Amino acid sequence: MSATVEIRDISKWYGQVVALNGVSLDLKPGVTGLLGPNGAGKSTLIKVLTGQLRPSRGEATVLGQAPWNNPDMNRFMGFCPEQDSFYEHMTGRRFVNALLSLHGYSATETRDRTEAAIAEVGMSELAERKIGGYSKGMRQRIKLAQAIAHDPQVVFLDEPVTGLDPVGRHHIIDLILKWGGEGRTVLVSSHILHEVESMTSSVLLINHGRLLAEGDVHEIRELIDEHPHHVTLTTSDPRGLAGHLISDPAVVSVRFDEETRSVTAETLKPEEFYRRIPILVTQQGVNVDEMSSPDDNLEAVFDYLVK
Amino acid sequence: MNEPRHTPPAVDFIRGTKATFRLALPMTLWSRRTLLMTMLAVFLPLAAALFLAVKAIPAAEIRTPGYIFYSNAFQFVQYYVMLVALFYGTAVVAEEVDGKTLTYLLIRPVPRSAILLGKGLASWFIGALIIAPMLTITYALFTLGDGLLYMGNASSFTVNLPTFLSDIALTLGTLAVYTAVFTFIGAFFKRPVLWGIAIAFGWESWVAFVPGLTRKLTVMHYVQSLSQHATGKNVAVALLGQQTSTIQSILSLLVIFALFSGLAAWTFGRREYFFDLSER
Repeated sequence: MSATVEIRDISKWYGQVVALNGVSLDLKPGVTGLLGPNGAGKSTLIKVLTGQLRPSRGEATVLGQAPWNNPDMNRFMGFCPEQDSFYEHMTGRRFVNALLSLHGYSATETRDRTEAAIAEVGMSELAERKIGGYSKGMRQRIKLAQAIAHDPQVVFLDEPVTGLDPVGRHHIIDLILKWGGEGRTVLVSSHILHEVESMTSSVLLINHGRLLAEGDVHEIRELIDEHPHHVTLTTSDPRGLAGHLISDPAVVSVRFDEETRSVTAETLKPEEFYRRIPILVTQQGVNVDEMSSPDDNLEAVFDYLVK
Repeated sequence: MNEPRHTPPAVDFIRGTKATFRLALPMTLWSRRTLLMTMLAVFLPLAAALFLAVKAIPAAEIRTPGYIFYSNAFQFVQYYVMLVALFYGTAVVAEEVDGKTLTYLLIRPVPRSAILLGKGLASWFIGALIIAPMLTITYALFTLGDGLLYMGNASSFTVNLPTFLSDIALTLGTLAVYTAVFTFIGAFFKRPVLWGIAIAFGWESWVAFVPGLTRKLTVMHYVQSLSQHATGKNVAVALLGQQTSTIQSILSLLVIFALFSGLAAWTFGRREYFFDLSER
């Protein structure tokens, strides 16, 4: 299968700020995750690929065409932007229909495609309500409907599941998997690893405007797991919990703080550690109010990768 | 290269303009901007009705002829037109940028110049929809009653109709020129309303009446030259022999319209729009 999106040594800077720095990659049909922390350059890359920004250096092609200021390419491309912005007074149906009417279809085809897109994202029942009254999940779904109503071959989705509840997230992930399965090229950006893991195994890692790695998401996960992982637990008895944890073979070291009632454990086997915590709570009667891992965000992963 | 799933239709400039116009028209019509402008528009016919009502009271002894009111009303209209063009023209691009909805338009297969023209036409159309009835009602108030508009003898709606129609044409033409100017300002500047106010109520309002060549750099000068009404400031300009001929004025307005429309399209076609830094 040949590449539908090709990027060669793309750089983009805004004044003194370098947003993209010599990025080269190919995208083929199927779902690809674009993973990076906030401010990594994901949105800039997508804006370059959707023709909204002009690269400062390098070349990008989507379906063989340069995207910048190329409306013809937009016939084959769909885009779901990150920002939660709409024509708020419009109904969901009117929003999708109005934007689709800019694609040159007849009135009948525009109407049919609008209905099909709305049904695909599960919004048929809610399409006559004004967008201003939609929940976050509904807004996200109607935004996706406008991106796919013209049946594009290439779809760019910028943080499509951010802020959604688990049910809404599951539904959108299913849609993305379906579109990828239909042979579309789908690029999905996210700053959350497990979100991308649930959509695809093919990922691009980007940070500080540079493409750090591309490949299988499970390799990235292993890379993370090779590094010491910190887990912080809040408890009424930090000293007691620390005592239990230090005897756990998965734990390398333990620190506790009586003032903040917290215990921080360092582990090389996070999966094993997470499995044992519920057992510890039930069998030993240890009270754990809260559990968090600062390492679970991408910033920490990228710190590891660039070191 | 992979084959497209289906081949969507191509959208040329004309189709793109029409589609954008249809999209923008209801959005412009049902905006707070239109509500505000309509409320301001009511002022003129209301003032006219009040003037006629007071004049009808013999005890009031008002001897001012109606045409003086009408001429001053025309001056009010000139400023009102600038205000309408300022609010609608600057919003053509700026409201999409401020609302972060511009993305939805830029990712369509419509040339950027067609997006601008479609939205600009919708703005002009709604502006015209407010201004034309305002002028017609005011005109009707002055001509359907005692004939106050015509100086002293048998006046009527029909006698003054040619003048009125040329007033309407000039007013709507002026609206188009100013809309082009302010659309460019909206596409180019970050705080377009402030720039627009400075141009409308600074440059246009004062430089047009300064003797010399500088006044020829204003829209107002050509509008005043074409106006058949002797209003305060342009009487002075006319007496000084500072007016431009009708043909020259029409041509100049056409050139200004074309120049600013072109500049707006050029700016909008080449500019990258950013909504916030976090998008990086």
